[in-house]
Amino acid sequence: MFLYMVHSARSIGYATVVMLATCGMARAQLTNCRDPGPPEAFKIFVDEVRVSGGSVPTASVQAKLQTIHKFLYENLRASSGDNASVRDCGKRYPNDPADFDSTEFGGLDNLRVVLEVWGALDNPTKGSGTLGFALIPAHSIAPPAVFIISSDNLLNSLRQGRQIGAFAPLVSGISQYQNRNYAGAIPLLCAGTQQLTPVLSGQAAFGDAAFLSRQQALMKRVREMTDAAVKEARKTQGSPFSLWSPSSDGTFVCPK
Amino acid sequence: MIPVSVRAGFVTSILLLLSASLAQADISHVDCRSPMVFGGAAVNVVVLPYTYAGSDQELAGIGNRLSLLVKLDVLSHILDYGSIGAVQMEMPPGMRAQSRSCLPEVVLPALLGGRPGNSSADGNGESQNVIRVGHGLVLVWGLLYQEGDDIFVQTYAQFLRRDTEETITFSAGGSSFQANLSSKRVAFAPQKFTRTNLEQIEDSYRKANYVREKPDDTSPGDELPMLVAKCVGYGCDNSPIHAGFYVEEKQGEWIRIQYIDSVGGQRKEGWIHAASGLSGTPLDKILPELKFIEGCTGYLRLRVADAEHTPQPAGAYALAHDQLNAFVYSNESQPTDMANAVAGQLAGTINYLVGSPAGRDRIDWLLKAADDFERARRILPYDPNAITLAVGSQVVAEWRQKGRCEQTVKKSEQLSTAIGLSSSPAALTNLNNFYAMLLRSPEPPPIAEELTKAAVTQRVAALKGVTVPQ
Repeated sequence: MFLYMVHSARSIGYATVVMLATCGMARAQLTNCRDPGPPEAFKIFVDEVRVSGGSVPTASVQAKLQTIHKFLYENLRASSGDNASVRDCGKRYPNDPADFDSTEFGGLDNLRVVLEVWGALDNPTKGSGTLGFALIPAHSIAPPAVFIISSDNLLNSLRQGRQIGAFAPLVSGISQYQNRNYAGAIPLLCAGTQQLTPVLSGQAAFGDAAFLSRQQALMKRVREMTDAAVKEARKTQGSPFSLWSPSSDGTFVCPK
Repeated sequence: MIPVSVRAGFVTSILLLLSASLAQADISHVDCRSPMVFGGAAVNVVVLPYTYAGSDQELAGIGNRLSLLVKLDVLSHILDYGSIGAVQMEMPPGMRAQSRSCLPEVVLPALLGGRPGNSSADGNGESQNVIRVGHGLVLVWGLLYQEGDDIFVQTYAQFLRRDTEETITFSAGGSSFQANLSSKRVAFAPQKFTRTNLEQIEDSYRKANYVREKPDDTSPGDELPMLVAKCVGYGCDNSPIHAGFYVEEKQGEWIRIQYIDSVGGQRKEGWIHAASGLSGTPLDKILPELKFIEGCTGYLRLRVADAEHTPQPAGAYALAHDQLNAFVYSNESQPTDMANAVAGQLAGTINYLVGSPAGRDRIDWLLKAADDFERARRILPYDPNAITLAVGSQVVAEWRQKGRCEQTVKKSEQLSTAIGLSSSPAALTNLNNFYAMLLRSPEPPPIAEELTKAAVTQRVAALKGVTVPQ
């Protein structure tokens, strides 16, 4: 099991990134999503937002939890467009990032889930908490692809970090690539790369240094994947990517 | 109880109001379960309640009140477009907060005729209070959420013309290029409201929710009608009938309206304090996305007029362009926002509509259009529509200005990129048409930036084997 915990005082507050590789240890199984949606569509699962420690929330805390959930749901819907169906998964909630083992990833992949998001309020009064997300298709290229970001003020982080929706086209593109739909993957990979760039750099960067470092590594892998996708797509007779020209180093990059 | 004769007359009046070729009409407090628009209007703006997922009753009520203020504020800024309907919908008291009735995915199909609702058919069998084919709709909804003592408001908008693609066709040198807008659904950046703002919303709501005898908050008046009558019996569909009104004129923050009295059925007049803002601060200063909604309404109004070959409302081009630019300016903190790109494309389309008729005096408009589309492309360089809009508008501007197209190598590469990123055969047609235009043009100077005719011929041959994946 790998565990990374990092703190930094960025504008969005302290952030902790926890990434755990699966190790097959015994644990409670994740409950199924109450509304997994049609089998053919790519999906984003929005799980429950809870109070850490499992205490029963007061009415006002419950309101805050619902607000965070609603915010996640609506912004992911807006950013994913027609590329993925956003599903409200009811009580589904990963108690431990290690819940995302190979079996779970495989199951989610079979359901065509590309992204799963959940949240926890650690201190409801202060509003501090964690936001977790799993990039399902990224598991095989940049494992474990499960991230938990901690913040002094979760809602504030969400407001500034509504860019979390930028992950939606990226993971959809990775999924298409893995399904060998290279031509379909390229537009999504390019959209994700473009949208994530401001999220991972500058004042509005989302998460702390360790998180950003992991994401930059993922982005590097995605750029390689884009190049590979164009080259694969060009092998198909009549491919429109035969019209694309490589850059000076021979690689194919997204338009700028 | 309302007498049958009065009731029948009232219902007739309302139906006439809904179907008339009106200039501007408005209705508030429409029950989400019976969605409606003004079928005669070229464009309707429908504002759903801002939803709040929590249990704070004060905030839950604010959602309805804010939607009324948003609707009235937008209405007061779009009157010059003419043929406009504005509708505010809400959850009636006692309705479960979690009801799906006010969700955009539930309301939108009903407004497009997807289910009967409380619509009534005209002589041609077409519903009178759904969006007519080719007519426009801007649907607005939002979220309220609490963060400590602050309240954040996030607005969403979706716009469309019924059964009509938002396609822009560029024509130059005997060729044409087509592209659509990059998106018709926008999520705006959340805006902060303080507790003081919330109190101001209450205050403004109290002012705006009245029809007064004079444009004065102290003048006697009546509350805006809620569900004012119910048609029951033969020929009725047992659904609530709502009160709507025509806007006669605007005076500062006030609009003068004409409406049908719900009890007596007679025509009445009055004033609504539509744009009082929040304690003197215009609402669109706090919610700059209202400028987007206003400009988007202008865009749709102009496109409806263009498609129906009806006269363009005077000054509408400049007004819509100014509103969209004002939004982009106020949204500077979100430079990479999709909303900025879409606003640029709407503004670019408006400029192109002005500039496309023949005449050298129109070139400035075409150059402005090209600039707007290029700014949008820089935000969305991966979007095939954004690329094509930018290239197409540049081609037209250059052709009209110089009678030729420049930097043809770059434009060819951009349109080739768009084909790869697009699933539309139109992208392939665009590049073919571009090459056809170059082959009809004089031989360009022998510089690296320009394609020679021989090079174009080679590319045309290569293009013959290319297919766009569906």
